[in-house]
Amino acid sequence: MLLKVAWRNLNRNKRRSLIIVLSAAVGVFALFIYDAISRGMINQMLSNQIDVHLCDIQINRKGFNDDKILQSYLSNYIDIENIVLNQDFVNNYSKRIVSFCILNSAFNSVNVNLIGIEFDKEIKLTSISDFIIEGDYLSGAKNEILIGKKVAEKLEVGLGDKVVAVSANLDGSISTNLFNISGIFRSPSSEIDQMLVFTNSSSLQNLIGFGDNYHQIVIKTKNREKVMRYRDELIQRIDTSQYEVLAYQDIIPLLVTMLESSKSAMVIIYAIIGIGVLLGIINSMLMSVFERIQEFGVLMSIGMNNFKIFLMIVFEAFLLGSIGTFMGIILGWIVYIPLSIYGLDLSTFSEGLQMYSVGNVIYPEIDLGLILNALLVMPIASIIGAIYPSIKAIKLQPTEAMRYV
Amino acid sequence: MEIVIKLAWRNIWRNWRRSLITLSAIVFAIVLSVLMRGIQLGTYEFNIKTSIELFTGYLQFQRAGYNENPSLYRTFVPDKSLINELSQIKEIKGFTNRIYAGGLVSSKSNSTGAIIFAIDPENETKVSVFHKKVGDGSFIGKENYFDIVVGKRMLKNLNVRIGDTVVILTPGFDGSMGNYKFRICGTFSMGYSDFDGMAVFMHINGANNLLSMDDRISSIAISLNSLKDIPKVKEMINNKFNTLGFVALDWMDLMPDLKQLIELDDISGVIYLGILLLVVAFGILNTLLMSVTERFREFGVLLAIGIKNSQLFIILIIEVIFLILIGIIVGSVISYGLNYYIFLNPINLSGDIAKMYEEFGFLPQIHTTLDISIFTSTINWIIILTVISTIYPAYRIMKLESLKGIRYT
Repeated sequence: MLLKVAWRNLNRNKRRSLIIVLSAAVGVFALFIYDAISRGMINQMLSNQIDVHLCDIQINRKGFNDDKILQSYLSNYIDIENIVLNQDFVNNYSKRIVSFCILNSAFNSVNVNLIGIEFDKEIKLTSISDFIIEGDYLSGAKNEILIGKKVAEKLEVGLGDKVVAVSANLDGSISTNLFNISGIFRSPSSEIDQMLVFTNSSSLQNLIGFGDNYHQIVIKTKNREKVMRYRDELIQRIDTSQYEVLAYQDIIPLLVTMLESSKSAMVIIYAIIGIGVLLGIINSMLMSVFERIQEFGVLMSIGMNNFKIFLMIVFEAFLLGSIGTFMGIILGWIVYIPLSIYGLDLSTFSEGLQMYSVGNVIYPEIDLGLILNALLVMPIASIIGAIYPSIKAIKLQPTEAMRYV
Repeated sequence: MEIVIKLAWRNIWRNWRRSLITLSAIVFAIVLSVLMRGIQLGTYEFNIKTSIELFTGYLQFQRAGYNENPSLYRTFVPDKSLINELSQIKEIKGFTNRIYAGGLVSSKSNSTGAIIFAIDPENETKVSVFHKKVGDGSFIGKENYFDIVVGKRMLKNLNVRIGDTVVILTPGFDGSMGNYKFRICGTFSMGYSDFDGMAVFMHINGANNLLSMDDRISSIAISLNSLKDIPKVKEMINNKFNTLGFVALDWMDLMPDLKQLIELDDISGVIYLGILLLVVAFGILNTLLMSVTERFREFGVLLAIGIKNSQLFIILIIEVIFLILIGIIVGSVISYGLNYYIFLNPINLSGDIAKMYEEFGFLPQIHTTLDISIFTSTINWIIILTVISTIYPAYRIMKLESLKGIRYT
């Protein structure tokens, strides 16, 4: 009954109702899209870092993640490999060596991390092979090297050219060797492009006198969502006084924090836009209350109690907010679907985006929290906005109200 | 005319609640936009200034192409005439020579990569404040050519202490591998772990020997009296030296990632404010439209006694002007107050958010600016949006006929 009356009241002044509904709809729509884009951006940032290089879980000698010292290799990698092999959540794994070197060409030199990888296993773990723009991925040949586009530009070298790697040895001496550039990559992360070059683990072991040793085992799990649980399972089986088992959250904690804090920031932004709409709702409800003073007088004198009148006005506002939200979300959805498929091309900011390791094309993402935010803000704001006008209405005296002009 | 103004003023007060709420929407929008823009722009400016003064310098004078692709082959010998020209520019506070290179640092137990910044300790203090960041030990002395300052993290990774010697190995200008012993005289900690683990500061004369530079340098870092002088001095130097193959670079050239980061953040801020202003504009439109349709009977009577539509239109416009004028004044005063407070008391961030800022090379502090442009641009937008929201109500007034107005329900 009350709902019906409320609905009819809204229909009485269609233009006014429409404007409020539109303002709520525009607010919800714009925030929906904005939120989806920024969420997509941060998630891409995270997944790019993991996919291109980090992987879900890393196992190192204790302390290696902080200091990357050449000497802290895995003292017995075969044992760990066996443990890893026996876990059913492991999709693939691979072993790596992380060393530091100066790469020299005839023109220039750069400091990079030279990563020795098992090329045939690594290709199942990381996506670096997808980002090769010239030449090929490692083939297993001796002393071949994969470098980033930025490194290639700095060294002024191209495919097939030779570079000299100068590196510290395991025993502290310095050794050099010639490497052939087999491929050049451009990943979504400028840090990876500038800092990492890849070679076969055997070539690197030769260069730095490393013997048959490795620094880390990286693991791709079957389900990234459960990575913390998998990490804890591994910790139970591995001697943690000697080794460290790190999930990606432990390796790049800041990015994870950023994802979380951006979610809470978005709640604040929703609230602020909600206040903007709320002021509009107060205004419009107040006007409609004052327009109908006589009517309220009549309603009260025929026995409608204060609570019902209060409820009726709140319903009116609630309907306005809900219809606006509904329209906004439908509109947002219509824009979101093609954007999430084709992506939003932001190549203009490629350098800034690459620094964030986002990639040039952003694919918006939504989740339950986002939809909940979008669904709740406007109805809540409109109910709050209706309180003051409805208090005004129930304070009326029936007789005076009927005579009001 | 006077009567028109009076009428408009009374109309505003006739329904003071509505006017007040509309006003508060305008004030809310202004305060929020000014505060947010102020914080954004102020924090950018602060960070730009900090990184400029820390080490980058207001301008750097380099051989063209060096910045895009730093190679020892793109270095130059700073001759006397060049130095003379630079010292004649009155906006320049000071300048200093530098060499940048990469290398490998080895201690007895370990080796690590290094980015070498070779500086002239005497002149450097006039350009950057890096020397103040040296915590333990001391800065490089004037005559101590083979002293270096390294990051705390590097000290730990190399397993050495202040006073120990390390060997630095680096490819020199002539293609040979330079190889010298250096004594660690001090350490610093900037908070960026990569930088603290890689940066080595040394005396420019030491680097000259290590790299066989024959007095060549990579860059001249220039400091100016004010950020605002950057474009002018940059152009002055470029006009003089471009033909000789040299360029002046400002922070946007030297730190393109910082520039793009700021642009990206800036855009997201603008989008967000745009949404807010749009929502507020709907509120203004609603109030105006209601206050006009509510008075159609009144307007009908006015028209019937001979007042023209255009005069009614002017009344509406003056009402709107009153409203936004009050809104703008109140909004500006409040937002100036808030901004001024933050300007004097920058907000220090802590915890995870602070770490996040540092990770992106920002200091964990929120600053603001009192730059007049953030006020004018916000106010401009409010005015533009109000004008747009006035169009439809104004159209209704112009089309109104007296009899229809009188009978309007």
